[in-house]
Amino acid sequence: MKHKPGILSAGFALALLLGTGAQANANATTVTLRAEPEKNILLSGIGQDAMIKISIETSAAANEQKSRVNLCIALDRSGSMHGMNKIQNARAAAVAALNMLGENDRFSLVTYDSRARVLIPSTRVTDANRRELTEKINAVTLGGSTALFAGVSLAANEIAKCREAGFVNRIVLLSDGQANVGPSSAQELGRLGRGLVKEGVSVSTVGVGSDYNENLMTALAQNSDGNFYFVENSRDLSLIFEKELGSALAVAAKDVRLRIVCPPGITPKGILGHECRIHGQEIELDFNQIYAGHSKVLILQVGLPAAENGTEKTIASVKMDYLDNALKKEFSENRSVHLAFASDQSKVKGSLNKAVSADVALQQSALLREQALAEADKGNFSSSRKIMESAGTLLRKNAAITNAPAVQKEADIAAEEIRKLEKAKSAPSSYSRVRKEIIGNSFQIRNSQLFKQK
Amino acid sequence: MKWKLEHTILLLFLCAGTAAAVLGVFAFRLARHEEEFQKQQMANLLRSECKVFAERCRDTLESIKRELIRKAAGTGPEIRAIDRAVRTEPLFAEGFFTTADGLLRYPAPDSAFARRYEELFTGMISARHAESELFANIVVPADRAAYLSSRTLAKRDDSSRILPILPASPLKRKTAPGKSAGKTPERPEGSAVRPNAAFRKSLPAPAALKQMQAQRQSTLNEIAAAKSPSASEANRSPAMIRRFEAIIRNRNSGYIPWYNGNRFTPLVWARSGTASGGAVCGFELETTMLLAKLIPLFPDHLPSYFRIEFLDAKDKLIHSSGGERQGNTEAALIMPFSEQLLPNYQIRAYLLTDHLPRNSFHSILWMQLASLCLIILLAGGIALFLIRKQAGLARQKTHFVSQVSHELKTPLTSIRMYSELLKDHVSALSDEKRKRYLNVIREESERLTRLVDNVLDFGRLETNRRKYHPQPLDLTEILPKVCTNANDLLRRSGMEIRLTLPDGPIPVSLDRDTLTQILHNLFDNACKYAGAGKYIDVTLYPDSILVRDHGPGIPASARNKIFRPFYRIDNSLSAETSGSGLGLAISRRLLRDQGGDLVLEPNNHRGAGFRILLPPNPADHGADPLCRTTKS
Repeated sequence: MKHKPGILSAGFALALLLGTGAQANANATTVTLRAEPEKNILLSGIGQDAMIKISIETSAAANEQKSRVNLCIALDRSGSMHGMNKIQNARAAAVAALNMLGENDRFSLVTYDSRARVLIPSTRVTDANRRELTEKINAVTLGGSTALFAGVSLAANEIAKCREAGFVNRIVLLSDGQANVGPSSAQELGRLGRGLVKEGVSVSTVGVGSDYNENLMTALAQNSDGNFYFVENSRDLSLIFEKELGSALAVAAKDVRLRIVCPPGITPKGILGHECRIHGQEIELDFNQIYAGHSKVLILQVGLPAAENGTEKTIASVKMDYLDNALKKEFSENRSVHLAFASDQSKVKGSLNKAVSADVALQQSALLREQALAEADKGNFSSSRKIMESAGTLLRKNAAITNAPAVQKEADIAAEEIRKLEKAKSAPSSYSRVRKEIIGNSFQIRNSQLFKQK
Repeated sequence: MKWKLEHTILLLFLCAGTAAAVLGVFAFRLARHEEEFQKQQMANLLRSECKVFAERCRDTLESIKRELIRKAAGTGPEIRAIDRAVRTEPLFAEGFFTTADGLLRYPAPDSAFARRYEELFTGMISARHAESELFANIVVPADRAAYLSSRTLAKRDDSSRILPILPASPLKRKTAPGKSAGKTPERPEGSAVRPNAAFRKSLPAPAALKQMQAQRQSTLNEIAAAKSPSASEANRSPAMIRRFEAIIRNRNSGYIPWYNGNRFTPLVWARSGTASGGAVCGFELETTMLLAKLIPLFPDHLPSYFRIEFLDAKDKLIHSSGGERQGNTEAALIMPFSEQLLPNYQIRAYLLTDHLPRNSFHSILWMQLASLCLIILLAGGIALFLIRKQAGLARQKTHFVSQVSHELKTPLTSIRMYSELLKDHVSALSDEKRKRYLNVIREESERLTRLVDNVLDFGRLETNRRKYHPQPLDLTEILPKVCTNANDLLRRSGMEIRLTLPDGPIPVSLDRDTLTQILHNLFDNACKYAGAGKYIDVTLYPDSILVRDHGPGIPASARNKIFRPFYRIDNSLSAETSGSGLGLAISRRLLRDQGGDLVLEPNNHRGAGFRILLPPNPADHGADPLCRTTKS
């Protein structure tokens, strides 16, 4: 195959990130869209998959102007919250959350056990009523089983009572047990989350202890574009609420819509760890919000046909529409991703974007670990271990190449998880605990959660 | 007489008791009836609450449905438009569009959606009976027999509402041209359920089923009969038709309550544009979101004795409101949520009788009954006490009469005997004898007088007719005189009074005669009962006079009774000592009337001691404790 040095020397040794444009006010907005391939040059002559990192970055400057928050806390008061001061700590955390809200914010509280009820209807937080609200929170007592679905439904209804523009709508759902009244499967709650995100409501879920249903909690958070936290000790709840509200108070962009279009011949395979709509050559993905100072990382996987040596291709164009929360203006950004093909392996290796590669490895390892858990759930601990080890190997190798501290740290965590899983395989209770830890960790990586617990 | 009175009283008690018991039973029955009535009232209230709630839910669902259909109608048959609608509408899970005759165009036939709704989009039904089988998916999601047997009466009744639909045209025009003349080809959603008053009544399950089947059959016959004249038309139309095509035929929009296996996945659809020949755009609805919209409609503050449950097609609880129920509580009401919009979803209402507020009527009744019983018992007790007292008094009076007669007779006999002796032998008798006889007559007369005086006194005292003439007296002067007089009489009985007086005077305001009478009574008693004691000690204290004999004393059992009128320790006529049993009673009464008292001294040494407590003297003086003893 004949090289085309002119083209290569024209800059395809590096990724071509072309901002095409439609930035309405480039000086004002703090949101940046980036799209970078893992390798800028791929091996020619073979069909292969390419990984592209799409990141939405915001600067912490957006933090200066806080959003108005419409917060509803859905508090589990089922019998399982008894002991270990769980309910007391949950109450304290809710009070701490209330105290973080300002005069323009709204607060509501839903409690649920075998029934769900609105304890504090959506109300504007003022200095005058803060004490009364605190007293109501502190009056929450324990009840029976766990009607989580009804709790979320009522919370969503309370949020819906104030649908003014400019509010960050957030439900913080706290649960320590298995939902056993109403729709209780991860799929059902996931669908509920998917519906709520369309209403502009995100549900951040907090699993307490070792009995909550992590699949359900992560599905709800994932589909509603919320965060997920796991706390073994309820003393940490206040910290979690603080982090959660800290992020909710500083939303840089809202109603973020990503549209990725691949040219004909290139197959969009999806975004790692995210459910997205794929229509032919298009992928669409929505986010309720992007927090200030946050970098949302998405790894797009596309299938490429064999290409000739020396050719270059545009493999995807990414369009992002969003509402700048600080400026209250809609913006649109476009990026295109180009790749070159070469037969020289060294060129291919040399074109590796280490930062992107590190993120790809992190996302892939998160998915692998979830796969490993799926195997372990079936009782196939040996195959689970193999998958876990492959995730560990992936991270270690990547760390060796990229020298990324995050990958190295994750490799260590993976190694620890392998050890824990090995120990826990004979004891269901400790397996459940390890599982929750891995799922939580994986969720936070997949969703580039702002506050990661590990 | 006594026997009769007691029995009458007892009989009266018995009657009163029986009346009370009857009243109690009646009251309890009334209370129970009241309780049942209250329960019934509560159940009715719960039912109406439930119906209002269901109505509210249906209205909400209807408005949601209308809004969604409007959105579907506003969405063009394009992938992008459909995606945009799905992306923005929380209740849309997925979208589709078909050709005007219901052929699925998007998503692709091999998509998950198309597979899920294969039965709807590609399933063929008889064109002839198309309308009647449209909703087969709703009515019979699984086994029909099991479904019907598992359903409650209310649901069975409601399920019967889903009936075959008469073809809107041209059949209806043929059968009832006048009625259908002004109608548009579009059938309103509500008309999918043909109202039939007969089916709305509660019927036993088999009857309802039979009637439903008969109704369905008659409708089918009607369709067949209507179609038969135009055999050629029937021949032209295809024998089988796609289910979705049948549903959208002659309509512009609609709601399809569809079950995919056990999962309820309804669809809304609408033709784009107004023309009935337009392409159809539709959306699968997200049931969880739909349910989430209904949950806030539940009454939040139901009383703890009400419970409303919302259950899905598998009888799994979705949400509940009100109190907690035990596993075996029977539902007061089971009603379908909405057979059109959420088929097989139910509302169940429970009246939790354990949590019902305590019946105040019941407790008041209990209290009344208890007080009635108490009053009866109390009245009975008092009556019995009075009867016993009266009986005792009557007995004492009888004894008194016998005693007095005896007492009167004895001196009278002596007087008569001695007076006859004097009369018959006055000359033969010596002076000494005559004198003795006359003395006896005089003594017996005095005795008779005393007796009569006592009886009269008692009579006066009882009727408060006794007059007192209190005067200042110095007891140190009076007492020696009284004792000296009494000694003359006592000496005959071989007794003697020993008087002990204080140094100073003891002034007191008393009726002199009553004091003399009291002392005489006491001395008389001492003579009668303590003759062996020889001495009667009379001691004057500043506030009292103690009269003590040295006889056998008063037995402990009689100590509390000796002051009762007519009481005698030995009440028999053959008793050694005679008496009326009035002396002590009269003496005490006389003293009490003047502010003093007569008490029995504690039995701490031999003999009986009576203390006359003097009425308080306003000009009390300090008495000298030193006494001088005088033997009179």
